[in-house]
Amino acid sequence: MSPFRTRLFLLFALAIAATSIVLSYVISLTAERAFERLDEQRTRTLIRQFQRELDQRGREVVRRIESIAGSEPVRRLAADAAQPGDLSLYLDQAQTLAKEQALDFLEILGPGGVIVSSAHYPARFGYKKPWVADPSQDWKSAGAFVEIEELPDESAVALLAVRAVPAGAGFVYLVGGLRVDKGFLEALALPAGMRAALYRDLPSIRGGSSLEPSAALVAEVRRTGKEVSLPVRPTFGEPSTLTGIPLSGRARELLGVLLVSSSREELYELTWFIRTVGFVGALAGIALGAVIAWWASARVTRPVRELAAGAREVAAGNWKARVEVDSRDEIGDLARAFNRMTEQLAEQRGRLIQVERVAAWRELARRLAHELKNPLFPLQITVENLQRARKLDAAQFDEVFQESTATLLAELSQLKSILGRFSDFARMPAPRFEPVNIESLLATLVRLFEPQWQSPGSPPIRSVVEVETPSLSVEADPDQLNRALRNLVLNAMDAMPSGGTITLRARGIVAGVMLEVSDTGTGLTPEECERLFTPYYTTKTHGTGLGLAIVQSVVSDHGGRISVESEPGRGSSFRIELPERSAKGELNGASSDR
Amino acid sequence: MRLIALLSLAAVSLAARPRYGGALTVELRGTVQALDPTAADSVDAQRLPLLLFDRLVALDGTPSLAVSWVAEDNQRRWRFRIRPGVRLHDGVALTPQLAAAALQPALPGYTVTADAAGVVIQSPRPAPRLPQELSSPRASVAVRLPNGTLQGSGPFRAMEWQPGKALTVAAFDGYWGGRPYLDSITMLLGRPLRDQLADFESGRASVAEVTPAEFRRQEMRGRRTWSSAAVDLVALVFLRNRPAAQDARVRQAMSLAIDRAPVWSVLFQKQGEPTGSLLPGWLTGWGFVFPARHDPAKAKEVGAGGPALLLGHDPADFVLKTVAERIVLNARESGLSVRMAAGAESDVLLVRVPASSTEPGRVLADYCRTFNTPAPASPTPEALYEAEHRLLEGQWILPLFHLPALYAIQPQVRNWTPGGQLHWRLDEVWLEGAP
Amino acid sequence: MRLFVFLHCCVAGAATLEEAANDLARRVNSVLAPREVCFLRIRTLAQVPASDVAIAQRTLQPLLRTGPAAEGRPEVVVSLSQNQDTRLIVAEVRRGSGPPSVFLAPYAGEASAPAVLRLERTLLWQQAGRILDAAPAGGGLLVMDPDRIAWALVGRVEAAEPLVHASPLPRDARGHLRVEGTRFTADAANTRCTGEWQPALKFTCEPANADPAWPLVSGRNHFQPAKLPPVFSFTPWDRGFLAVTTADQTRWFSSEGGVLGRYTGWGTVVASLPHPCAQGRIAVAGTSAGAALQAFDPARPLSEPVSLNGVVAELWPSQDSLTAIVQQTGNHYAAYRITVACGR
Repeated sequence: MSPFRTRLFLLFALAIAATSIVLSYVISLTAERAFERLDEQRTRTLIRQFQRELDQRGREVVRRIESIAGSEPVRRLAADAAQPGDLSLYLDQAQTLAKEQALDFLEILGPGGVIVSSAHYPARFGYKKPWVADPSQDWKSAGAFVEIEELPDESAVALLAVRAVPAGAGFVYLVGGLRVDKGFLEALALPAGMRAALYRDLPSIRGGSSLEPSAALVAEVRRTGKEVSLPVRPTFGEPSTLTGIPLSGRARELLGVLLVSSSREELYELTWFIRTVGFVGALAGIALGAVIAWWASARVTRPVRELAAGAREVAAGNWKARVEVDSRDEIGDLARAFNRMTEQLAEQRGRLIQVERVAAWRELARRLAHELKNPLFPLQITVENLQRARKLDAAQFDEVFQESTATLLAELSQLKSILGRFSDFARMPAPRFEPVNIESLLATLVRLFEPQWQSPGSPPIRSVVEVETPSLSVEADPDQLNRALRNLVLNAMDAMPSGGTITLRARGIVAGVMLEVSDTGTGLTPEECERLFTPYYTTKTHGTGLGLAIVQSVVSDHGGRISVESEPGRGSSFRIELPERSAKGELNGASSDR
Repeated sequence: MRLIALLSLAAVSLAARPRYGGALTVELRGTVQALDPTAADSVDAQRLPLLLFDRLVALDGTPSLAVSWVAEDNQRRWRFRIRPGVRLHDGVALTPQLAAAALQPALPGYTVTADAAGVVIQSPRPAPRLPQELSSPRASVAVRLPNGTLQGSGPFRAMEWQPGKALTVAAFDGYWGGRPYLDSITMLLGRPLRDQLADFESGRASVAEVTPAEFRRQEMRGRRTWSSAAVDLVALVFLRNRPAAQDARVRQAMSLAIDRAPVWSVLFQKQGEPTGSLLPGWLTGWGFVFPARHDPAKAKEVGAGGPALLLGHDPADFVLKTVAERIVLNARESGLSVRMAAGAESDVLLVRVPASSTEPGRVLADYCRTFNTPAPASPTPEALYEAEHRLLEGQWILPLFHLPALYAIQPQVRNWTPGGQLHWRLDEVWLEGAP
Repeated sequence: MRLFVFLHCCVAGAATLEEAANDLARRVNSVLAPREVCFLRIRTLAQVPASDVAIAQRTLQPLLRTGPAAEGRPEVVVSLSQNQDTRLIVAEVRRGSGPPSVFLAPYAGEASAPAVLRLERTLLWQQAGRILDAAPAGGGLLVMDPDRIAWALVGRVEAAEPLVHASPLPRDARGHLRVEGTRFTADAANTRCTGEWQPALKFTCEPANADPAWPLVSGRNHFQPAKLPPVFSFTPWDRGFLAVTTADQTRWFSSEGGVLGRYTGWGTVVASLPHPCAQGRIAVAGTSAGAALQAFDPARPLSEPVSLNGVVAELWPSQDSLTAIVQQTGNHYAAYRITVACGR
């Protein structure tokens, strides 16, 4: 898969995945918040219901006490209480009455708040409950309240009501009610998932982070005196919302804390469910996204790929390559542009070739004219000399005739060589490829030039040959390659009029071989480097300037390339890179879009 | 006796005339397993021999089987003249020999022999109180037959005996004192007070033992009631084998912490009296020496830091249950750690010990036996005081109240006559409306 | 039918009080240091005559070194007590807060055998119609009916004034006259009249208040003295009252309402008089049939019953005697004066 498509695919996939994840996260969060609010509302509703139940029970207690207050035994007791005499015979009365009215607690108190009979603690006769007989208290319409009641073995939280029955100048009081305990709480009509418990042991509760949630909650309720809720997630057991409701007594003192727990199990299940769904959705989204991305990227990149393929073809030289893209979008525009471009390029190339050809012709003509002009001028002079020399005597004429004919012959020879070179250049055949051992090639080359380098009177030139491996070889036409290298060496020699070092290097490169001819000559400026390979560009004062062109031609025919590095004053290095070829002589290796 | 009978007739001529016939049902709290008088060691147990057997001396000290008696030899020898013409239920005449043989098991410290006129009882020491002892139901003349059964000469004869459950007796026509008015009496045994009250209210029982509150209610309703002498003891007994009870300071603190007055006033309806002595003061004359002090401040001081106590009581006695709870309250107010014992384990027990006699010597001997201390050496006041003092030493026993036994009697039961301070003369009773 | 047995406490060999006190002193001295001075206190419990206290004091004082109460000084509390059979002299030697040393000795009291007495009756008044009370006044008699108070002389009504009641008289009304000099107070049901009988019979009546001396329950025929249950009749007695409750129970109540004694065979009336020939008081009560009066100890009778030809409806104290109101046949009532004398 193309990198672009991969990027596109990844982009699409990531975009879709990210969207899914974010969406599901947001949904989950929103859902959780909504559930929290719902749960809170539900808890509120449940608490309110609980309070209503409690109030209902309180009213029930009041009703029963009032019923007892109006009963015959109590009226008799009140009548007896108005007389002098003791009420000790009524010791068991409270028990009977309490049983009739199904009350857990019942005490009958005489004037002054002295206990006459107690159903739940019979031994407490004679003890006082001064708060009952408090004259500032109006028990006529008082509702039920919570109080701690003493029992023989413990103390209990009770929902009590008090009624006063007139007895002479004073009152007889009935204090009774129900026990607020587990049974009481269980008897309340609570919705499913809600439980209530009564926390009694208040003095022993101290705050601290090491307590269980319920103890910490109780401590908080105790501190603030208000309802406190907190979510609880125990290690074992189901999660719930625990609410602590303070149970206040008559004097607003805290007697106990009612703990109401409503199960958060549902909430957590729902949340978990939504999260799971979200997660699954995200996964599905990712998967789907991957598929879509795959398809989309394919669809999107297909024209691009075609474009790329087309471009590659064009780069490879197939100027007729076209990209078939029908879409009306930018890709289509691009394709059409590409196609136009390639057409234009092809045209331009053709024109360029034409121009180059014309230019080359022109250049050749110029060069030819330039080259030919040189020898022609001495020819003309010489012939003119001859003409003039006719007038001379025979001996002078002979001398002049000899000189002139020599000169004529030399110049004609010069002309012949010039033409020969041109002819060589024109006639350079296609290379015939065979394995060429570089080392031996270079050695031969050095042997060829060595006498010249070491001859006295010529500038001293040293040579260095570096071949990476002796077995380094390349598929090439040995003659042409030789010629190219010879020309490079010749140029190098020309660049070192006062001598220097010529270095011949060869090494393997990726998919090919590199040959380098370096000198320590005058060097070239960057401009000159650029123009170097133009035929007839020469920096030399002599020469046809074809040398490098021939090198270039050979290199080009080998499918390689040539480059130059130079620095004025330091020398130049000509580098030839020749690609590998298969045995058939075809180019190996991947093409690179350069 | 005929003279007395005539007098009695004269006396009642102004009131209604007794009627013969009818059946009386009496319910008792105690259980009795045997009719043997010598084994009758509780008041309820003694009621049965009173019906079936005679004694030489009646409960109120008057002659019964013995028409007269005389003390000799500085009261070491007593001669009782046996009433002639007395027959046992099976018709056999009661002879001095039979009487002597019957009496001997009841008088272990004495030698009982018979002579021509009656019974001679020889004692190694002077026995000034022998006639009183012989009036006790334990000293009933019960003739043991060869087959092991006991035969009596009492006003009633046994018809049906279910040990521990019920005794039904029928009037003995040949009784020397005249056939009783009632045709039969059924004594139901082992009846809890609640059941007795229910039976009484429904009319199934003619006589029932009642709680103090119920007694007062019956009194206020104008019903017939009867209370015995207050000899029953309610006390706290610390168990010697319990470590918590072995702390002397805790026992002392408990004795100071208990406030008897409200319990006596309300729970016992002022029946009997609060006490600090084992035997009631009116019985001994020295009860005041053992005071019943209530000092909660001192109790707090003494009992500070003491061990916790478990207080137990008879679960069937619901009046005692409330008393126990009140004791727990008192103790807590004095800073003592006391709890009601739920199960069998207790450090201290609240008990009701019914008296079997109004003889101080006999009662003390019973207590000494129960609490495993030596019996009083002699029946002198000093010896008895010593024995009581020894029992109360160390405060292992804390006497709280002396209570009477309280009974409610149906209105149709007439001529209810007490016998002594603990018993009744059921042979004198007649039923109104009896057929 | 009742027959009471006089339990002889004078058994041969029993010590006298002096002998017992002597013995006690010896034992007390055995726990005192030689020449140690103690603080002696003597008291009586139960119905022991005061003469016994004097004897005990006389005997013990010289035998013990006694002195006033002082810090560190042992206290010797001597109590004269009794049980069913005998009298007891009990000595408690108390040092500080430790348990006392207790010594006791029985003795035979001289007055233990109850004296035999004689009840005498004198007819004061007879009339048809209910008599609430009658009280001698001067040489004559004040007689209170449900609707009038009359002053009679030599068997004839000399003056009479109507009794105006604050509210309707209840059934079985009760009434009582108290005469002091020429003035008198008449309590009847819910009315109290005060006035004088000399020079002329004159009195004013007003609604009765709660009076401890006349704790009649309003609208009823019974009384409720403080801490006592409802009673038909009551009279002050040793540390409390003798009373006949509305349930026909005769009781000796302590002033706190506790029951100190129970007696059967008495009617609905009880009163008390000073003992004519001994310390203390005696009780006079109707017999169970109500037709006779008898003197009691109170556990045992002290006299023969004396019949009054009718049912005794009231027995009121009247100076040093009692007035018995008797319902005879039909609607005839009689008032008797009851006195007690020594001897048969």
